[in-house]
Amino acid sequence: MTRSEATSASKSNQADEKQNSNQNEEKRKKTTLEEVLGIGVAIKLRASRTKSYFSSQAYQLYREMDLFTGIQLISVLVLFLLFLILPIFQVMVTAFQVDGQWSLFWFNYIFFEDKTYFPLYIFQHLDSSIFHQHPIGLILDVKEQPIIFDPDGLVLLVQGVDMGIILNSIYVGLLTTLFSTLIGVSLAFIMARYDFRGKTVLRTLLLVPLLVIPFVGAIGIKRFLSVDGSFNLLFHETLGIWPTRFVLEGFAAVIFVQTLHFFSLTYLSAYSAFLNIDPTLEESAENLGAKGFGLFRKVTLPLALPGIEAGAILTFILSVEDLGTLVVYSGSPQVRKTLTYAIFTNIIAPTGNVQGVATAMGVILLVIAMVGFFFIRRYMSLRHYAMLSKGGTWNPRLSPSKWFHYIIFYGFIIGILTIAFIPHAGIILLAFAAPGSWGRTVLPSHFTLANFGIVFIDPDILGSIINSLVYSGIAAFIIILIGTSAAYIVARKNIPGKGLLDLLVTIPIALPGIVIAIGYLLFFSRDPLFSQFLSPLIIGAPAVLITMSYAVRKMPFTVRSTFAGLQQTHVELEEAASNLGASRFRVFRKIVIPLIGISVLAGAMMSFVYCMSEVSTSLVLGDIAAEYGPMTWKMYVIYNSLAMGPSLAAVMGIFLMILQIMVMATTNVITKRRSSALIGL
Amino acid sequence: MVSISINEVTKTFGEVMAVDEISIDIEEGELFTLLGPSGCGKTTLLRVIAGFYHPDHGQIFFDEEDITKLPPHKRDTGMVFQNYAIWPHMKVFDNVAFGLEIRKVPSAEVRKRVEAVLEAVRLGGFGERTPYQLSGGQQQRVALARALVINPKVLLLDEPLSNLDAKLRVEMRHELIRIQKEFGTTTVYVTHDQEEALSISDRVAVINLGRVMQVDNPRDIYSDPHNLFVADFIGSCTFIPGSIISVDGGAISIKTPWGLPLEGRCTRTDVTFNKGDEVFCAIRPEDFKVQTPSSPHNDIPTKISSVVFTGRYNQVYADVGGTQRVQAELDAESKLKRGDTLTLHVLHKDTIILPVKDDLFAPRIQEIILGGAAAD
Repeated sequence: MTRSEATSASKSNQADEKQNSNQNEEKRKKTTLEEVLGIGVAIKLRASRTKSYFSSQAYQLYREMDLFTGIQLISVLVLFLLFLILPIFQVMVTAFQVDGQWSLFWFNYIFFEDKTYFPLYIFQHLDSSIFHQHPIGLILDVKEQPIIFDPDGLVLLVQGVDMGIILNSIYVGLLTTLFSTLIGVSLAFIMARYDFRGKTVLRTLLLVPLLVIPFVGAIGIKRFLSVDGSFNLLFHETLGIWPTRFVLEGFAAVIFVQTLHFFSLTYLSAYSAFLNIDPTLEESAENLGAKGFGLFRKVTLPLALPGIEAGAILTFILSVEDLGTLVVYSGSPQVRKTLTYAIFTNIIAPTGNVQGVATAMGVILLVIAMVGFFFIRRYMSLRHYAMLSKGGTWNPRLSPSKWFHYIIFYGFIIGILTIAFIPHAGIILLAFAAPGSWGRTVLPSHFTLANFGIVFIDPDILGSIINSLVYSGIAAFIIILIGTSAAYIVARKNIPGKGLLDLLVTIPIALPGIVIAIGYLLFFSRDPLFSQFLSPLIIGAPAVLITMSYAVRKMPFTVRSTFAGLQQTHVELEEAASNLGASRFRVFRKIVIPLIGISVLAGAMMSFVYCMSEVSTSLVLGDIAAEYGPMTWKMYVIYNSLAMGPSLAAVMGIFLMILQIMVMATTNVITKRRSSALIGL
Repeated sequence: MVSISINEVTKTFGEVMAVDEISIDIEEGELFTLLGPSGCGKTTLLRVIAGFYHPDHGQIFFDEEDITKLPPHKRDTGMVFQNYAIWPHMKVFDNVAFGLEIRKVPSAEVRKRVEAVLEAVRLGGFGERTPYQLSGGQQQRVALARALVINPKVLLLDEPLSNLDAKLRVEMRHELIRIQKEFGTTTVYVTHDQEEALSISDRVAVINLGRVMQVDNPRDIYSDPHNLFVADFIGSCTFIPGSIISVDGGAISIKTPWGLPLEGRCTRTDVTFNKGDEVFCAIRPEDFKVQTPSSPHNDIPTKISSVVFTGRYNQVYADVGGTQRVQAELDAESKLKRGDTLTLHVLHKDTIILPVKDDLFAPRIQEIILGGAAAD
């Protein structure tokens, strides 16, 4: 329709309603009087309005959706539908089917038949007298001792108990969360409320645990704490301080490794929660006589609690879905009995074959993660994040430290940091250890750069690194295009279902990677149109899936950062351009992008580095075709197959560490933003 | 230059009715002000004219053209935002030139026109500055220049002076009038500051709760309020409840709580009073006189309850008959003190009689009267 047509059309509508313009004029005058005159009239008018409410809403949507916004929204939806929603939906459908028929067979199998999954099968025989004799033994089916002391070799082995696959995952996650939260909150309180020398240095050092993903950290720790590891050789054999050899195995090791990584996350979220408390709230409590621990318990902690909870629950989700630690410790039988690992071993990636039991476990894992996510949903939402990154405009309350504070703080923080640096130390030593030179010695007897040479010369290993760089680079590009669009729509557009879009782009942080991976295998192998993505025969085929899984899973970091940038940019700046005649696209290109470019870039760099270190989907999808395997998959393969595998994997771990340090330093400089951007909270 | 016709525009946000069937006609070249308390819907209406909001009902016409469905960037309006919205990543020149570049004006002409408009807002030579180097008043003028340089059909100003300090605000009023008359652009001006509205506008629409309460030139808005809201919102008034005794042409007599009648006039042509109708009488504080005037007037016997010296006048609270308090601004020379008895005089023409019936604001006025009497 041309403008004149539109005008005449709308005028004819008007004419329909009001017959002619004279009458229209008359009505106009009357309305003004009615407005002055009266309630009764106004109520009547309101009643007549409701009928066209819905058509007006629809028109509102139509108006908000100009061509450019439409393209943005549709690309976001298509990407997430194809590479997140449908695959996960496929997992759920498959889990409830046997031979194409709807069935609860797999869940029945997991919960009531096979006790390796869930040992409460005993409930079926509650009247059994045996139950009363050895309740714990029967319920938990404990065959292994959690702590074993071997007096002959003077070995103390700590490993944990096996409670069946499902409970194993949950309790390991809970204990990791508990330890991480205790350490993290204590650290956060000290850092947020006390002023002492060396605080800046310690604050930076406390971010270091984030540099090593649990997968890499586990490699370092395993070497360090084995029977003939450096710890035992140094403290037991050489120095004699430790009375026995000490070995951490099984779940105990998993919890240890994960805690050393995740306490940084709980620390950061608790730290920002403490900083976001309005100081006057504590001051008025003090004014009324509260002090010390009473003040903390009654005022500070309740105010910070939501933020602390969010960090704790995210830790739980990430711990439960972590696969990297498990594959390193998979030599221990009990570690193989966890949800992620059991799913992992029930997949034959090259054929896209996923066992039914794996899909059912996937659904259980998904439910656990989603229950956690919905508790902290408000905290994960873009709005909340943007609020956080704006907040803290007041001067934080800092107490000066006395001498005994120094002893406690330094003792505690340095103690934690010393343990937290074990993975880094282990990795670095492994990377520089000459082949076969690190047997029964505290340190390797020969140091070499040969491992670095092999990693960057061997065509397979180098190829996998290049694969990862390419996948992550393309993923980051997609993330910028799609993530910026999503953030823009949520921040600026008034369309129905915006809350769902916010949910859609933040939820991938909490979605278990392994579930997405089996979703891809199922969805893309069953659909004839898309099945070529899985075929190793078609050049580049699995690469598409790996790239897209990275893009979807690591998108939230960019969306968040972009959204925060948009919140700090007044919408009037865009309206001014639109008012002067700039089209949507032009406003976006000339005003929005220049203003929020830095935030987008910072987010994209973060997303890129997290793509590089992604483990769970990489391990599954990398198996489709070796030549397209990403770097983390290659680390897993060589770690398990080569004698010098740990050293080579360590070199690649160092490569990831350096990459992440560079990105963190750069984003800190260019955005001057709080480090909470790092953790997705 | 265009005239603007706002026809029964309604805009709701969820349950809130921000603009409630407003109809206004704005003439060519007029400086028209939408005045009202915050949240009354005036900015919403302005944004409907700019196209940032789409009305639920009603149309906006520029001359004869219905622009209701045009997106903002096709309306050819120039808007000055409350926070100016100067793009921080562009120099002053680029900010002002933006609209011209969109319109594909040749670059030589862009330069000429931008420099001319910067000259007009007295910012000649500021083109190479970045927005950070400008003061609030200068930013405000850049925003104005940016809106004017495209020769818009309509200039829209959203509280453009509210972020300036008090002195600069008064100066900029004169500047705005000068520039608006110089360019002759039809202008819609939004403000909550009644003094600003009265001083710059050709006509003012007083808006409350999304509805137009009165449209008039500033002088009539002040002297002839059409309803209780306008009387209370513009300046201040003493309200006296009463009931009609007699109506004789323009002269209306009412019965007051203290027994003596008051005589006054009605500002509305659409209202007829009958004997016994409830009314409010509204009197401006400066209309109370101590000296007996020669024109027809009312006498009000009062007892002074407080006197506050403000420099130009004495602000006096005085009680009448125990239940009524009046607020008067009296000559600063007069020696008055608490407890004095004093007869105040008000001209019949300054005694405004307003109907109570159907006025949503009546209960609020009742509260004000009770509050005043109970203050001691």
